[in-house]
Amino acid sequence: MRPKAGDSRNYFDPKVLSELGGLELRARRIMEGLVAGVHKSPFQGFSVEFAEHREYSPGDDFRHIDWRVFGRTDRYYVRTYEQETNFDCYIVVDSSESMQFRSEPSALSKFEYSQMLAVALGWLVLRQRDSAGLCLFDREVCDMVPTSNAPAHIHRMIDSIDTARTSEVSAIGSSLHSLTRRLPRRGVVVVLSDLFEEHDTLLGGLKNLRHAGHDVSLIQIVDPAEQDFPFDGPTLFRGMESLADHSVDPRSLAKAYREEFAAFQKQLRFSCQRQGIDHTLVRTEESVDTAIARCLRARRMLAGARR
Amino acid sequence: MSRYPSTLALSLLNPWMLLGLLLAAIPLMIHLFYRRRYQEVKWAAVLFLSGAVKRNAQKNRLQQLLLLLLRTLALIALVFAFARPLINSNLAAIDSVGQRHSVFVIDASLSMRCRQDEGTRFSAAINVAKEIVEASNKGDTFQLLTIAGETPEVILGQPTAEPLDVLAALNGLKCSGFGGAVQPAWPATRRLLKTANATAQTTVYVLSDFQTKQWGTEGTEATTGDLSEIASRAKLSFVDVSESLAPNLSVSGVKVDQKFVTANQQATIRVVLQNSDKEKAVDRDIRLLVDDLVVSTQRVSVNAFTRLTFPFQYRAVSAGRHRVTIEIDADRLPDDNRVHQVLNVYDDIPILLVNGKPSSRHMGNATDFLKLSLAPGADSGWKTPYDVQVISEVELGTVDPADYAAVFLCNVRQFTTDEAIRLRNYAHSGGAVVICPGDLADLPNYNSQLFGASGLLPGVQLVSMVGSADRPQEAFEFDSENLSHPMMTVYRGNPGHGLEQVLTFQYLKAVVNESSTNQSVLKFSNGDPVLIESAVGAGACCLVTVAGDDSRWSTWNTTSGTFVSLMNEVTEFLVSGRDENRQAIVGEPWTRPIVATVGQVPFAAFDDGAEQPLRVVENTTGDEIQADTIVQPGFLSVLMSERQQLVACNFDPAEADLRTLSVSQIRQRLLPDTDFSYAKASQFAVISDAAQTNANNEGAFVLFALVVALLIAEQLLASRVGTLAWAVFATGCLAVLCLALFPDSHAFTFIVLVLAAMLLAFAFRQYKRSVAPS
Repeated sequence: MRPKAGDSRNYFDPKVLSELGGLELRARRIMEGLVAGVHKSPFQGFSVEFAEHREYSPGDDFRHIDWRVFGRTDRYYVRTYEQETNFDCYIVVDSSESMQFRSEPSALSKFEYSQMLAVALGWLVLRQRDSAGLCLFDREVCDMVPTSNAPAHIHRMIDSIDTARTSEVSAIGSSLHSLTRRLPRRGVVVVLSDLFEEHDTLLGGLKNLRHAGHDVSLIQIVDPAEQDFPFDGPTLFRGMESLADHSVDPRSLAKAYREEFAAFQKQLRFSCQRQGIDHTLVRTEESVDTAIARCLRARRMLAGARR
Repeated sequence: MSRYPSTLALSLLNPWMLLGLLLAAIPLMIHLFYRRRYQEVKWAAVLFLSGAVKRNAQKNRLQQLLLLLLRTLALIALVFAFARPLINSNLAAIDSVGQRHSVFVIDASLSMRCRQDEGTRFSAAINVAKEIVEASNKGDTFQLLTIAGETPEVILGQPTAEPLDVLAALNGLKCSGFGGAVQPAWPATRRLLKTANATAQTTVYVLSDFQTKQWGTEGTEATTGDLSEIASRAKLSFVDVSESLAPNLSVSGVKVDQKFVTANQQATIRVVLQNSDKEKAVDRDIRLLVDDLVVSTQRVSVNAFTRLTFPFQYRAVSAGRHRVTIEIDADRLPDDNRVHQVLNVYDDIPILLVNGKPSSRHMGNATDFLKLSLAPGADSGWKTPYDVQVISEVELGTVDPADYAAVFLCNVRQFTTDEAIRLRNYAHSGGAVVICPGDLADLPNYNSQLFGASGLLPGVQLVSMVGSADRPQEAFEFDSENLSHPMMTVYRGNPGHGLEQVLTFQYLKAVVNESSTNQSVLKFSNGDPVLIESAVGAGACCLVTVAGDDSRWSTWNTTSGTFVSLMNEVTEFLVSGRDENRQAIVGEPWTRPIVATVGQVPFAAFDDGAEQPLRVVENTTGDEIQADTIVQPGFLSVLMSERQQLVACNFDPAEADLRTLSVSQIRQRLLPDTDFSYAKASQFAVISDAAQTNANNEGAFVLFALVVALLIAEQLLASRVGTLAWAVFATGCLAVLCLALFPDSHAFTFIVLVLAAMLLAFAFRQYKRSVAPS
């Protein structure tokens, strides 16, 4: 299914993506969308040496507009910078059973959505000639694609994430511990997970990554139902990952559930802020490109705050 | 400590409505169903769910239980409201007062013998009374009287505190089957109340079927006054022991068309059937029995609430007193399915003519014209049933008048005292005497012997002779317009009957005392009587003031033929009156004038051998045999002075109509301004408690208010307006409306209950849909 011309959002719409069979097709679609120029240079903020000028396009930072060129040519050009050194970006994806959850109105499960995000991020990193790698984990690190800056490396990443099995219980904290030991050099670590784990355990893993010098970016992917709890009528909630079942009247429980969820999020955000970890909550109903833009904006804000 | 259970504080008018308590299971079922019909979801965020469940568990469980409780309570309250609870608001007061006094007024009339599903109405009344006694406390007292016959029978006149004695008295009561007169029961009840302990809480229980004819017709004003006075001194509790309108076809009367019947004469016996049911009685066999043999059977149908007169044709082959019985098949009230009648069949009716003016001339005797009128002879082509014997006045002392159906005294000169007494006794015991004075009559003798205070016609005096046969120009005419007496029925409305053509030239002027029972059958146009009739004991006497012989006093016996016809009418009227006293009503007194003989005791017995108590009473008008109360139906043979009389005794036909008054009719007709409680016998427990404790039906409305309150609470708790709640709420409102409009109608209550069930079923379906998994 080809998107309509001029409707760039169709490239990233979860509903449209869900209609495409197989990750390969979905990844190509996303990459096509990214090539269409909607989003540019997501990681350029890390470079310090001037590289070239290019024409301004909406979304570029005003601070990078070269006003002297504007004075000469009466056109807007922005200054781009060469990376001082190539960086490694590790995209870490949670492939536990809980990521399989998809509520009735959602087009994609959390894992499918994570796949889309991982591909998009990987492609963006590789496009600017940085190295990207992939790591899948559930109760431990189960698959790892080393970093590379070859453009074709994206296909290896896609293969790896496409063949991942999501049937195990999750142990995010310990997996991140294990991952820290296996990462050869410092880099940017983007964690894609629902983060449904005890706060302290989870935070332990994240702290470990930070102590190892990694720049950690946490993208929490949740299904809208997991946040809104919209159920009506008696419901038996069968716990995934072998957790306990609960038969409840959701109407009487909704308020307490939302409060629990909000409390967890608040605590997590606070902890991340203290650790210098950028945290973004993404709902699977959200367009993929919007989600990426939000993640990067949060990242820049955090970077600004750190400077 | 009391040997008897204490009075309940709550009782129910419609206890069967408690079956509706099953409805209370509906919320429970919904609750369980609701728990079972869940949707299943695989869930990842168990972390938060567990936390929420843990935090909410206590509150949620409590809320669910509370909701279940509220809904169940609402339905239970609704069901109880339908059951019409009676709340004992004065229980504390009773306990403090302690003693209670109960007066039972039990109807024992015939209609109480009506069979019901369990026993009779009477046994239901006894059971209610026994239950009240058994539920009494130590020290409670009782009095008892029954409504039966003309006067109530007081069984326990003094307050009795021993329940076993009261129960024994109740067990010994029998339903007399008499026609119950209600009105006399209330003065008797008031007398009983005067003997009761003034400090005791007194209740008068009236246990009856409240039969419409018995309660709603006679003496209602007096009854209303008496009951109001009773209600001012005691609580009045009416217990209706009739279950429903019982189908009943009864024989309510029998009558023979002919005034007297002779052997081989076809008689028409008319039977009155009464159907007091709302359904038509179809093809019911009705049998005519004569002397216990079925002589005819007919099949009839009688419309609902209709009286039907049905004729039987019967030819008696022999003279004598025959026992005629009309019967139909037994139904709920078998006692009114038989009616008895005495049929007196004559060979010939003996008539005695006393000739006071013998003559050798043709038609010269004083009795000749009369004899010709009553027994015209075979040659005349006209036959009368009379066997006429003529004697002279000197023979009057030698014959027994009792051998004759009627005695005519024609122009008798005078009477001795003995003759006058014998004639008077003869008439008193059922004979008929016709006095026809003429020109020979000694008026002072007549006035003293026959018309004195103890004579045949007290209150009549012959004062003078008026006119003269020698002056035919001075004639007197009969008043042919004023013919209201039954003897004159054949002339009434029959112009040209001939009486107006009669001219009278001479007659005896009779003065009739206004206060006496004498009736002028026929008068002259100047107002003087021609014919006077008076009842004498069981018999009758007539005075004719115009001589019916050949003395030329009048043209009556020689022209127009009215002398013949009128003499036959007089004879027929007087003779037929002899049989009227041969009927008696069970439960009522019966009297028969007799001429008592010193030392002779009357004896009476029914065909089945049961004796009927009789007594001889002497009063100013003569002797009588009296029965205070006829004890049973059937043929009663009365033997007195070697003469036997046969009396047919029947139940009061008014008792056959089993329709009863409703509570609203009782209130309207008997107690318009008096508080009383009313209940069916099947709800005795309710009414007994209610009567003892000033029961009221406000309980229902309290419960309905509770239903509404519970539903509002349910709404607040559930924070939503559910279909079920609205259904129950709407049903409650509807029920309140129905009970307010139709407080005594079980039918409406039942309809509302059915509607409630339907609404709940609908709500349940809607609810199921709403909880079905998406």
